[in-house]
Amino acid sequence: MQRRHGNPRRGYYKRKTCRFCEDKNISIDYKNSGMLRDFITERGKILPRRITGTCSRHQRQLAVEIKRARIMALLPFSVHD
Amino acid sequence: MDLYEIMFIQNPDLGEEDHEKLFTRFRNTVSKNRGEIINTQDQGIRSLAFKIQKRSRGRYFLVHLEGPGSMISELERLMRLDENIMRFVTIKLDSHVTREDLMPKAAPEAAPAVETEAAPEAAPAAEAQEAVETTEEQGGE
Repeated sequence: MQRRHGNPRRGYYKRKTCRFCEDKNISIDYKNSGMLRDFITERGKILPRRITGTCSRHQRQLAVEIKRARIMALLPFSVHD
Repeated sequence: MDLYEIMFIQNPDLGEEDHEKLFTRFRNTVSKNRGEIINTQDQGIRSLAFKIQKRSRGRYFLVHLEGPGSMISELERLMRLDENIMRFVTIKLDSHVTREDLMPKAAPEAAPAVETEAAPEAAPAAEAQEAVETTEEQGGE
């Protein structure tokens, strides 16, 4: 059975889960910039974990690796018009 | 002796000869400091997410090496002085990463997959890329 959360009046939603806890084989690595792109906005900002559902431990690792990828120009610092 | 990973971006317009020269200097610095290069990977010319030194492309290299911390400061000095190195990052690898993980041609994805069949406890080794400590250069855009 799927766990459901939320106020019945606002409707139910499926709880987001941390992608890295679900699959232990994904390593959070700055070299894998394609994967990191899922965790930044179109403007290049790091997405908060309330949006992505990442657990706090992996969010911390993610933030470090995104910043490394930025230094190596694999990800943008910012995207402006 | 610790294991390190260095990634650097080289000027893409650099000729093979100059590149060899640069690499020889790199290797000499490593051996002079009693270090050892385990693996080097040429990742080829890739486009950058933003311009560095007015260039929008760069040739990426990934080097795994073992050596004392003094070697790293020496290498970083060398890379900072070299005009053809546009950007670099040094990462001290986690203590549970072994030399064997970094050996050339041993596909890093293949090894943990075999381990998981034998013992599920071996899975955390897949996270081995995780690094503890870093020295990073040139934070700005």
